[in-house]
Amino acid sequence: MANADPYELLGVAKDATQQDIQKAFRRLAKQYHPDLNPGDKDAHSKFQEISAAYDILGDEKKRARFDSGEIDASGNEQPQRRYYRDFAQAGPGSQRYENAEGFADFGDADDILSSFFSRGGGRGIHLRGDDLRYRLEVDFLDAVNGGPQRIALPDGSSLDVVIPPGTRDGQILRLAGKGAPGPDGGEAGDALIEIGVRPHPFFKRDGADIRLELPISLTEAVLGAKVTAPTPIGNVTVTIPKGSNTGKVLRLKGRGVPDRSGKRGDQYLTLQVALPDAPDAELEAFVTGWSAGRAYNPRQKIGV
Amino acid sequence: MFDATELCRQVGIQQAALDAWIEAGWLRPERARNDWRFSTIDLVRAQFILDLSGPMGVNDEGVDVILGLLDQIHGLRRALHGVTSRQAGDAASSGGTQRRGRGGRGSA
Repeated sequence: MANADPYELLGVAKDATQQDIQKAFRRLAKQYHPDLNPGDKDAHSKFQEISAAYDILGDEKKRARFDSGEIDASGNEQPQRRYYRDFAQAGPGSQRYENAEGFADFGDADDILSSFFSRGGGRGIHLRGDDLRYRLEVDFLDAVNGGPQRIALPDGSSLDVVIPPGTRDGQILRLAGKGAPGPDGGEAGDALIEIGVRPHPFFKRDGADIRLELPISLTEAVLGAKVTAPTPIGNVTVTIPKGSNTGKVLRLKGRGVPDRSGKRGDQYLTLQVALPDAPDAELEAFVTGWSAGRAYNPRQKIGV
Repeated sequence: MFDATELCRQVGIQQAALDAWIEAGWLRPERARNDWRFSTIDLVRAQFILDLSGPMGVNDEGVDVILGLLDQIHGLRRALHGVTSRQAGDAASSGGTQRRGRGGRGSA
């Protein structure tokens, strides 16, 4: 079809002026533009043809190259495009444009027509409202443990949402029917809420597990102890074995992040031996006389 | 859903033209917080407006008239589809009754 002679398609002579060509195109476009002929199924392909022809002949330079045989009508097919008419009665947003004034004076028939008009044409097309997107920032522990949250909307209203336990950063929650109302009584869209999880000062999330650096004193490290450690669901008592070094990892089973079934991952504590904040004369005196401490080279492991 | 910049890029128009079209009521996108939110229907409608005002040489007043009538046509077409499909639905359900009737006689 694109190989047809563009002069023939536009119905003009080879020596037609640019003005004649423009006139011919406009006459045909009025006749065949799909959006001006919503019911004509063939209008679409005819309009593509004359558009392609006019693309060559409407441009003096292109027309000259075509006349000299430098280019031909093939390879000049217009890219497939969609037309307004395909969306005007069914697409989302169509209610913003179409109107019922065309049959506003129909009297009794008006009721029948308007009922179809307002119910989406009675063709089973019930226009659904648009989905609305929001973003909600929640604290780390609120995401891990879940719970109710409220989103303040731009229009002053608010939206209540229950954060499921174990919600991840970037996860999108869908609230069915909480989006834009459906036009003309159609179903409302959904609210899509992207959850942003604020980092926690000491808990880190690793999939279903929680990681935490747990500081312990030198005394606790050397002699062992029972110490208190925080978890997302409250404090627990942890037994530090005698001789625990910095970097030792303890696992607290079932103290991690719950999955959908409520099964929790684990929490891992990485021990950090911490000296007292202030210098301590007694400790200095002790390590001065501690000969085994001087003999031990912890850097041997890294080759020095 | 996309923003004004993306619509201008896809249609191939300047932001100023888009603003004028919205001002004229030819395009009625949804409002986002500080911008417009466009759907595909706004995109194809903008392409149609560009066809009219560009190669087809329709002036602003002409575009205004055409869009006004076009919106009424689509309203009418939808209502008419509703009426005809209801009639088709009535015909189909009465046809079903008849078939059941014939089936009853056949087995008797």
